[in-house]
Amino acid sequence: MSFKSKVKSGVTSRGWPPERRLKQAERLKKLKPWLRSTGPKTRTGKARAAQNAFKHGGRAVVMRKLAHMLALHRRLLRKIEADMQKSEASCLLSEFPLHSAPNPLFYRLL
Amino acid sequence: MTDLTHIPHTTSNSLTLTPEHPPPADPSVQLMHALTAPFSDGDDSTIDAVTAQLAGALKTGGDQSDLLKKQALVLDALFHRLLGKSTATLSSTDTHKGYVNQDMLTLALRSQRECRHTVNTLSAVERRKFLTLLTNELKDNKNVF
Repeated sequence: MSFKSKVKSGVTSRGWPPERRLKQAERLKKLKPWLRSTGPKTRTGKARAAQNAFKHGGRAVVMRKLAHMLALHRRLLRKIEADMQKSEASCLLSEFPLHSAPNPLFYRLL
Repeated sequence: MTDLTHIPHTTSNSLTLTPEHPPPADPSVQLMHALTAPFSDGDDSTIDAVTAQLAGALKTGGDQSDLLKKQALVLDALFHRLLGKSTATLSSTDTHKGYVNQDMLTLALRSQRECRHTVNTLSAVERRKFLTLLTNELKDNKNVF
């Protein structure tokens, strides 16, 4: 028996067809397996079982949004740096490199 | 050994919200509050608001020093929160002892890199402001030295 179902668009999708879902739901309601559950009882056990379906969380909505925020931030930084390169002060920046010791004349300003 | 599950507070405890101190309107500051608060992951809408703010800044351009200062703090808070979460998600259970969520850790390190980059850019912006001022003074033939 194939579990593939056809949706209206004609694309074959994986998963259970609605009829099978309904049949399974009826069966579960009749059997009531939760009354005979042998699942975790302790808080630690429940915490562990809660992570059973967890794979990596990398595609969670929050993670994707944070990644998008970081990408935008990166673009903003690049734009600011590009603007700075264009400006007239860039020629002076080459004389006063950012990560080197300041020109001795600088100390006379302080 | 360093306890990586501990979530440090990067900012002072005065940031703790009380009824007398409602959350500020600025989305960056709101997100920072959410990230530094002990049992809060923040709200999706806050992240959306910060993203919209960044997109707006990207369009308008101009002087973004204030935004960058806030973003540096937000990214630092985000790094610490994600670092804590990457180890604390599953490592508390027996079977996953020592487990580190690689994706979360990657994002944490990425936010740390962006934070460093932001501070670098900020210092360059400030330096540029100073040099522009100096150039203008020199153009006006003022004896700045």
